[in-house]
Amino acid sequence: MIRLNAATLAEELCSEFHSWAWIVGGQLLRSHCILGLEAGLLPLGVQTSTQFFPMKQGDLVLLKDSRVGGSGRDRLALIQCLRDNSNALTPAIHLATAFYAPTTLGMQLPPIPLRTQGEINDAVMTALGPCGQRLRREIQTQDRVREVISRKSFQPLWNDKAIAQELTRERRELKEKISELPEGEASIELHRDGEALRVHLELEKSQMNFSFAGTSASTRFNLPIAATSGIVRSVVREWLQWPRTLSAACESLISISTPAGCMLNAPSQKTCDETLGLSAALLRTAVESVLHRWDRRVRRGLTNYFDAKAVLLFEGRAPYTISLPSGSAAMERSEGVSFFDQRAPGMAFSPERFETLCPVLIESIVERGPMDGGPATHGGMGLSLTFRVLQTATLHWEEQPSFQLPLTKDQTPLRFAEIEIKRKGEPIPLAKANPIPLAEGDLVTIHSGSSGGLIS
Amino acid sequence: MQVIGMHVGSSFAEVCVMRENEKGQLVLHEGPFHLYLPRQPLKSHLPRLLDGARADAAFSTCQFLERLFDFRLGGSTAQVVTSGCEAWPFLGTYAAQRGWIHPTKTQPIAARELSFPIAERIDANGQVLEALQEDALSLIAIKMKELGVKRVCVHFMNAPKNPLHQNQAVDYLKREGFEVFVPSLRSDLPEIHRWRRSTLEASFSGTFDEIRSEIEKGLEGQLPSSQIFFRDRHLFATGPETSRVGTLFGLDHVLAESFPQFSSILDLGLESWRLITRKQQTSWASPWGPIDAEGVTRLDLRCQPTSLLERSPHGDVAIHPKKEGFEPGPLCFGRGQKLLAFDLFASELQNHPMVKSQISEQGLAKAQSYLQTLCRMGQVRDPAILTQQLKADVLESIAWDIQLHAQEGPLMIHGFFAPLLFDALKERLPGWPLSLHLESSASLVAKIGRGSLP
Repeated sequence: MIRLNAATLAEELCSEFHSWAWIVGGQLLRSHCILGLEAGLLPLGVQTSTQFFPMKQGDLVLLKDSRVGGSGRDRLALIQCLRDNSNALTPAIHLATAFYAPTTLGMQLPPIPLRTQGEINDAVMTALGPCGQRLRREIQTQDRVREVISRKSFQPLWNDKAIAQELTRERRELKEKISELPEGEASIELHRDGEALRVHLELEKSQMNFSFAGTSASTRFNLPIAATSGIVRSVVREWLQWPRTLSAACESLISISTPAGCMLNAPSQKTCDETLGLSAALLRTAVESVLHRWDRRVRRGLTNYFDAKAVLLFEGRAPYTISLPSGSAAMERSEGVSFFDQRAPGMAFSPERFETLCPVLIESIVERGPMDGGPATHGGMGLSLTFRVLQTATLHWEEQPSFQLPLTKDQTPLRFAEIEIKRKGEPIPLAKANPIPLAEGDLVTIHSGSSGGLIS
Repeated sequence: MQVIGMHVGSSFAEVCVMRENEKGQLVLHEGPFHLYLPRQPLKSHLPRLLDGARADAAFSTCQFLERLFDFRLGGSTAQVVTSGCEAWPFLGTYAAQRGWIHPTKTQPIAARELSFPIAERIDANGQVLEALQEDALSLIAIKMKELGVKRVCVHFMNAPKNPLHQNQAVDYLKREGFEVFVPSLRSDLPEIHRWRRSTLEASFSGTFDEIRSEIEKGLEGQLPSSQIFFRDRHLFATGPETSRVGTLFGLDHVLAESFPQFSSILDLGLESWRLITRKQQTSWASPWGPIDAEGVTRLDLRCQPTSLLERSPHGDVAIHPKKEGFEPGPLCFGRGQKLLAFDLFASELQNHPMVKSQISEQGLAKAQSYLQTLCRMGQVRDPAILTQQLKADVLESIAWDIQLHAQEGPLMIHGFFAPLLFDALKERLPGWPLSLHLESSASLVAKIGRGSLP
């Protein structure tokens, strides 16, 4: 039979959003983010916002602080009360979404009321400047969601009993899915310059327990616990090929414990924003590594989650971020896919848009060459992008992690992203310190990473 | 005036003859006739159906190209691309399934070995940095001819800012006898969407020409090809002028124009169920990734007439959104091996002129036997009850899609399944203004087509 319920409705209505979370009666109904990061952060954002402000139907809160559940770096979170619980018989419904807002890079916003009783906070809209138009579109899309769920025919879906039944059924089905896996445990460790990330996975009675005991603090990698939760559960969900997005069922069957103050449960005074993406990639790698050790049903390479990331700064222009994903990992019978860019159409790399927004000229876009002495089945190659800078600029290159990644005996290493710069035909040595000054005419080549292969 | 109206789907075609009455209105004169294309090709059966009937023009919508959605395309389509970017159409292919651990990209729609770089460059301001040389085009043309290429796409960086080189290349390649396809000059869309569109146009071309040829040969003697018009997104045009990709949406626009007072139209056709709204879309989520496509929005419903019904891991019977199609078709056709949504309604439809020659007693018995097997393995033991439950699921699913996606306002329900499902949908959508329209798609196509003639 067809299951048409609140969760299905939530997923369908949120198909236009990049990341989103749906909270009903204070409980997570559904959340989704391709990295897993915001799938964990946005529910916290709803909790924080509703603690600060008694939100009524249609009220909006804006947020940009990963420590309290917003997005980081160049993304904004928008939270709306789709239905308040003034009628005590029905639970409150909140929707949180996050979207790309590059002009907010460097800003940090605590929860701010953006719309109260239908009145928009014009001062905030003005302060946001160029991303105001994008924000208005996000508001419009959220408003449409609110209008649809208010329709009479959907009302029966939104009572506590119906939601509880759904979550109970989903928990049962997820438990059955997890029970297909062998019971037992597995561990991995990543080390770098005295820092350690330790993952211990235990599966017992269809309950997955991830322990990060022994993980240290880090000078570079930091994630709030909410983000850690979202990322771990997202990786597991993908591993199991679970067709639904994250929910309270996932939370109850996949438990996570982290020492306070470690890099995966960063103390509130630490700034996480700058390296959120990189930290998320590191955690995904660690979780996938331990899953490889534990579940040997399918042989595959290790995924390279680390994008090649550079921020270009030209005078008088907004910073431009180039983010090039890696190829995907090799599978038992097939090589990895080259340059697997799965971002939404508006966010994927476009050479024409790059040239429009920055004074650069693209010389070539090719598949990165294979690694020497390659294995029997290669991981997907990355992309090599070469462009000439037409004005002086600075480039901030996101250093790739230097952790030794744990591989199984039949997996081959990843190849990380690299950057090369030539000036008048000669390669220039790249100092350790960022940012890198660029002169007019410099030729920059960014190579995105390649994922792991399999030895035959 | 007398015109022929046609709607050609993937497996079925509907044809009618319309005549102008004294008031100048087109009314049905003959038909609608129905053809099952695998057994009744248009070329041989159109003359039999029309039996020499005089016509001044023929108007057709054509969704025949949907057959290609599961095919690997692009074997013979070449691309001429700005040097340095010739790999980009292949690197920029879309993620068919998101997620890192089980990633899938969409199939490429062109062959890598038929991507030819050419030295030319226009910058983002439209300035020519490196002029396009005819010698370079000539070398590529020679190579393409050696390889037997007939269709070529021209994909130059920043063409929307300055189409000079694009136009030069098109002129040259056309003179050399190639069929040339170019992307639109919309600068609001990424180049990969625009290039993908023109590559699809080229890749669809062969199949479109086949069906066009069938129609033209079927109408030979009655109509010259210059009077046979195909509908794409925006207008009726003769075969060579028609956008191939646009034909996928021709019926959507005919319906939108036929019922201007309705906010949304639910087309419950024989081969596909979709909702058409007046919200304008700028791109279409094709099976190969987003492509440049402007017009009314169409949503394919989650349940389709040829959706597969099979037991889910949880013990109930699930309905799959993917269309299985009519070749071989549902169990009731006697050839298929799978229970499809259509089978649930077979007993009500067995005398419908469009399908009665396809539904067999043996097929109906096969469907019934399959339902009994499902009952033996499930909680519902009576096939009749299971059938009613599954029908209810289908209707529930359609009602859900309407409530979720239709625009506020009156909804027109049209198509093969419309009379059968209308009352049940009305019960499920109390308060929603629904109307039923019984005229055939072919007839509507003829009317809108006639209205487009000067």
